[in-house]
Amino acid sequence: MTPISAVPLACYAVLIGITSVVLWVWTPYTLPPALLSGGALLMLVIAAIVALRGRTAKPSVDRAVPDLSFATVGVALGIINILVGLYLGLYLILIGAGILAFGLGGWIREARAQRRAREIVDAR
Amino acid sequence: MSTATTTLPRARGGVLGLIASTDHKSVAIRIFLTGFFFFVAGGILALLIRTELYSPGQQLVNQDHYNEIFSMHGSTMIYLFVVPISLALGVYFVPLQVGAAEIALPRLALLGWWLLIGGGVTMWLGWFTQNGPGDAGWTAYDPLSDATNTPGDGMYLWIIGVMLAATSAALLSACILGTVMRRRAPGMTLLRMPVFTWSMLMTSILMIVAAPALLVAMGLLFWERVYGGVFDTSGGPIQYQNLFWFFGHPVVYVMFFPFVGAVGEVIAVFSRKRFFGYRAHVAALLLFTALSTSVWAHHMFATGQITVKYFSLMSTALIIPAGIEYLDLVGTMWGGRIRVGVPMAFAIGFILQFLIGGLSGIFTGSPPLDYHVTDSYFIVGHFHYTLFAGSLFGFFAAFYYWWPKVTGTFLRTGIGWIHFVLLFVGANVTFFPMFFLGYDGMPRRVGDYDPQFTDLNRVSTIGAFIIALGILAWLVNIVVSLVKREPAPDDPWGGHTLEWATSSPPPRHNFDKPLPPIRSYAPLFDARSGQTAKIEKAEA
Amino acid sequence: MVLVALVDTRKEFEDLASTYLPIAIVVFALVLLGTIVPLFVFRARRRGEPSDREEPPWLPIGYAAVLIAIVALLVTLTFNAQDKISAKVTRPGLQVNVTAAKWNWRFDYPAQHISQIGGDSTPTSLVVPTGTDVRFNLTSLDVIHSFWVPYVRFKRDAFPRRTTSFVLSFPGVGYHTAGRCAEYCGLKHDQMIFTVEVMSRNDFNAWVSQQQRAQAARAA
Repeated sequence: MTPISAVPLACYAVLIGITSVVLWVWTPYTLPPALLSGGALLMLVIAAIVALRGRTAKPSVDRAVPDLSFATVGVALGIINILVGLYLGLYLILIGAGILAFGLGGWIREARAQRRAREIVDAR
Repeated sequence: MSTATTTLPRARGGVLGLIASTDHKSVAIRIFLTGFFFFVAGGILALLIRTELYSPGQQLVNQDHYNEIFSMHGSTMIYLFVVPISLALGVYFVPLQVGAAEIALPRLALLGWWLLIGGGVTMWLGWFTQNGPGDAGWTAYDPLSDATNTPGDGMYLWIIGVMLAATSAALLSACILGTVMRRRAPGMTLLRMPVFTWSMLMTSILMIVAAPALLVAMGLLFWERVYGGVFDTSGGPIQYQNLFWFFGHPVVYVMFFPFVGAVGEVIAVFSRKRFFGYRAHVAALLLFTALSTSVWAHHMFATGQITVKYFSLMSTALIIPAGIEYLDLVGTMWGGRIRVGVPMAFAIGFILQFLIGGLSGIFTGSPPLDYHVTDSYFIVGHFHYTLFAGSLFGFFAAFYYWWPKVTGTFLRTGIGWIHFVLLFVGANVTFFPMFFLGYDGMPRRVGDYDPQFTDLNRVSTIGAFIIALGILAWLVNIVVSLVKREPAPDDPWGGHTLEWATSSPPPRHNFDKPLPPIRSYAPLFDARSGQTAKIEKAEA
Repeated sequence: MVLVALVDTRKEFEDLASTYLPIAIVVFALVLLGTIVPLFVFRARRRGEPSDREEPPWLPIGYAAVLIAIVALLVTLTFNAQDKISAKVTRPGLQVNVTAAKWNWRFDYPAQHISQIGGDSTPTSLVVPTGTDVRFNLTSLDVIHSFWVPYVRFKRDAFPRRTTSFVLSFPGVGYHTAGRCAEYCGLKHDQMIFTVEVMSRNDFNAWVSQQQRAQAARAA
């Protein structure tokens, strides 16, 4: 990835930056232009991240992403149960947190396995 | 060249693969199947609505159930069907079109699919609660959606369902964005990305900017219902609307851009011509995306609490990028050698019918005109033209175009034409009368109406059942094509873009032979027409 | 400040629509031709190779200029109409306070000290004189409703805890289509209608006197 990738993101951010400035001037209300400026800021930040990482990132190579990721399913079920638990009750939030913990733990295991695979490939 | 295969993509690991596979192609198919399930559910709700509206008075369902039905119809179709399949198209095809072996952040894509299931199930669990599902419309305006006016579990479950669906959409968008940023093949510069990929990039940007506003709106609504004190000032309800529509307008472009991109691909391939006006199209897409983010309060003209002129100006300015895109689509056809296959029929249907939606939208972008037609059946006609007669036709164009790539088989042409004709007739018969109904004074979200509106409502209802037949034809086509398979080669249409440079279906890591040289946005077209050699000589 | 004789929302709507609609029809016709003609002229069987000419650079720029001109025209017409219907009216001929609540309407005439509110089977009747600016002050007691009179091509949302004002005039005398609530407000949203009766000035004054006597008699 190169910093040039960030250009469309930055262009968009500048364009809505402009429309937000016009709105700040035109309207007596606060929330609408704040929303637009917020959007512009968010995209600028993402563009900056893309541009900065583009300068140092190594060329994209095959990564050892697992074919099956039950950890991800765990994360999903954890989040779902926590959110539904916000209404149905603490018991469900706790169940969800537990499942989430398993899921996140699985993600960490997958990350470590990926790193080990990377080292093996690099060593060759 | 690898030989054609008649095997369908086998999920890695069988049933376990269906649950946890990180292959973006498998994730995309599973999102589509989930969305399809909710499409059928939402479609049944639509038929219930149209049946009730066949005559004035309440015949089929009581008022309470009717309000639940139309609220869940809109919510299901938007959050659980069109948005997911719009993104699923990108999840499947963006990595292929940019020459990537894998999507970026594949586990986030898998997470996105599971959160979609969670959101849909949670929302629909509302039907089993005492007060029924969330029935404050898909917009859930405060104070209607607060605990006093819509009490009960169903509304809470609706809010949580929406939050999960919105998070799903944001995650899928992040994967698509990441793929475009980080996974392009060597030689695939930004200005060599296909038109469809550009439209998916813009879709992702919109979703990422818009989703936080919806999540905040839903969170505040949840808090309001439990503790109160959020929107109960004189300026409270309008703040909810600002937050909601800041998401609500971009989301309709999320449901449009992928299909205009796919239609662009279909038109180019079926006209045997490179896409016309590529650079103008990219610039128009950028302007379109920025304007789409800046127009949301045109949904709120009738409130009297927004700066109508600013939002009217920005909304009317949408003519500029839309006009350029249309010129490019039409310009691609002129001078070409057109084969009118089923994908092309749906593509042209999209162009003409989405235009009706867009023109009626420009009409409503004028506040003095909008003050009459907003919140009436005119608006219902407008957005069904853009979403159903427009985007869904674009989806079917993409479906017939890309089905051979995904499955390695062909869909039947004869049944495909029946599907198209039924849907074309049905869509126009259902939705065109709505412009007149609204103009003459029929409000929206009503189960009963003044008898003067009966005739046009009856016409519309008949159209709805024609649509149902058309959808049935589509399903028959899928079943027949899967049972009696007609194998499809790697590149059945003479495609221009990289997804056609691999087997049908693609292998696990997309490309198992070297990519053709990428010197423009139509690498396969270049290779076929000897353009690549010309360009390389010019560059040397 | 725009000086108008009467705020005529119906006229502004019809005038504006009579520009927007023809433009829309012409645009649709052009695109229809643009997509259907190639299906016949540029058929697959036509001899020769498809064109691979680059588009001339003036085409997108000239075309964008045309589009910008259309936008400028529509926005100018819209802004003019918007100014006219939101013009300041310092001395309206009549004031009506509109209160919306689930699922009925109430019209108070503060200067005349009369009120209109419908019953279980009769919708509330809005009685207004023709040829006068009528200022409405609109509010809601619970959720958002919307005051819509299709005949004058206008609606405004009724919000709780705030009052919004607008001016309408009613051309023509007679009973017109019912007014409707146009913002989904719960169970009986589709039954939240009112009727609009437009009278001549004299008839209106007579009606006011009659209402004052009737409402005084009820109070006694």
